[in-house]
Amino acid sequence: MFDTVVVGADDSATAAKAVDAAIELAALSGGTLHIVTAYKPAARSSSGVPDEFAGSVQPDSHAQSLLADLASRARAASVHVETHAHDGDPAEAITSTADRVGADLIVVGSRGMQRRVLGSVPHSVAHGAGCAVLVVKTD
Amino acid sequence: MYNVIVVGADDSPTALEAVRQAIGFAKMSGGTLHFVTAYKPKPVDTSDVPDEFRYSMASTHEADVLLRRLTDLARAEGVDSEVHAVTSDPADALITVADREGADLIVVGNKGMKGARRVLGSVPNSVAHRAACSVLILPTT
Repeated sequence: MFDTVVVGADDSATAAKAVDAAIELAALSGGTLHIVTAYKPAARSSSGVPDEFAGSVQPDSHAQSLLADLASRARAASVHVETHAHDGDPAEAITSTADRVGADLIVVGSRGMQRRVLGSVPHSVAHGAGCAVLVVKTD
Repeated sequence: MYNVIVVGADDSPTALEAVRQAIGFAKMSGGTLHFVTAYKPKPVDTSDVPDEFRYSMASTHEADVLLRRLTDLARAEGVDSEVHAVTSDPADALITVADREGADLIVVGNKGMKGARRVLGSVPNSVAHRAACSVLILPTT
């Protein structure tokens, strides 16, 4: 039913629950899972860092290791997985990736929904998506 | 994974599309579907109606016919279902039945979620914000 599933994640416990739900669904439907994380490009203050270590303070290195962890969980469940790191707004990262890969399902955690915040990630995704959206209860 | 799935329905084409997709989802996850329809009881004058036909004038009649049709659709796909006709606002009806049945998923169509109709009071929006379980919003428009 869902061939292309996109899930947004950061390093929070609630995001991990959303990823687990997405892995379960992708396993069940035999679909490909795309895990998306957004990061804020940090000011590149590597001036005090010796040249040989400058590579380790790349702003997206944290995002890459998070994605590698989550992708290995998906592979452990025999789910075909791809990862995407985007700089900028999380909701925008999720919806633009979903559009690009032709997602038929976006999975997001519910954190921020109870407070009825207009700018929350699940709210923005739910209103901006062109496909099905699963808001996983994570809080 | 999703054993108790609540889905809202009325007699609109978009609601029927949500129901079709929900049946597909329940089939995939192996869960039981709970169809919920909200209705407003209308005062019905049955004084001219012969006794033996009065039951067909009951205010729940349309809701019952709809729910029976949905149950048939689910059964055709091998999906178990239960029906709930609730006298209240649609979002309240979904939340109430989901809480009572211990739902792990509520399924709604996305009508009212997009574009100029990004209304805070829409059913999917209201349900997504208030549900105590996960919510699947399906594209039906």
